[in-house]
Amino acid sequence: MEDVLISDDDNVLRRVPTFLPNFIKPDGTISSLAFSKKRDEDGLSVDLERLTTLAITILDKSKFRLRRINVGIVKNDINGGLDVIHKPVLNNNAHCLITGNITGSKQKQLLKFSEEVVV
Amino acid sequence: MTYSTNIGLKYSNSSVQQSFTLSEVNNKQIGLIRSFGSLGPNWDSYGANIPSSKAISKAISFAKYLSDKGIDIFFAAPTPDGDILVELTNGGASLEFVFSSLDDDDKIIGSFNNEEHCEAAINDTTKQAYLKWLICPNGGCPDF
Repeated sequence: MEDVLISDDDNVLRRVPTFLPNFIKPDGTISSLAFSKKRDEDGLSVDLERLTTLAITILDKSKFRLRRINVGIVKNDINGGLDVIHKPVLNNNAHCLITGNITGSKQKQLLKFSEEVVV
Repeated sequence: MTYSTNIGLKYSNSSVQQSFTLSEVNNKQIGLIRSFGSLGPNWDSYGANIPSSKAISKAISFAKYLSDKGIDIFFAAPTPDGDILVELTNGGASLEFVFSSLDDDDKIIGSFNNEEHCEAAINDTTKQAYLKWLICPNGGCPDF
């Protein structure tokens, strides 16, 4: 796989479950669970937008929505040591990780600074 | 600190009436929480764990406790670790109770206007104190 440099201008995408379970709350807001990872994971999985398409990343429109967040915002505005690294996996060269200490507060900020993507 | 109240509390002067039946909202939420037990692995497409039966059981017990207090659950969902999150809101304030599959790993997170305000391990003392913070920020329900 090629080495991919990620710049502050890049955007990454994250799927949000909307079926069972549904991370959309009754008031239409999204739970910060959308940006939570497992305890033993090295980072939060996202896709680098320029290496994928929305149709590929969403997997199933009936089960997921997409949120987009800018890498520069992750690294500079939310900060706190967060970074975005390219970590391709089998069948997904766009796969990246948001690394660092993703606390509950950071999850809320990631959600706050992300935007809905219409697919 | 003043909140607009959107929690269905049943007050009688300064005391909370005990209602020993499940509210319609909490009954639905308990059904939803139970349904998380049918999720398979990778339900979030990022490798999430199956919600644990222990976490589900603790969340359901908590829902029944809330019904006794006349408090409705706002939102419930599993976490990628297989824990269960139960959220309560009151105006701009919210509490997230996270019930874990691990012993002694349950926690409460209090937020105001989406900013994390406080966090504690769940025990009888913190549970009551945080609920009081959510519902009676000005100390209006001393018998709660």
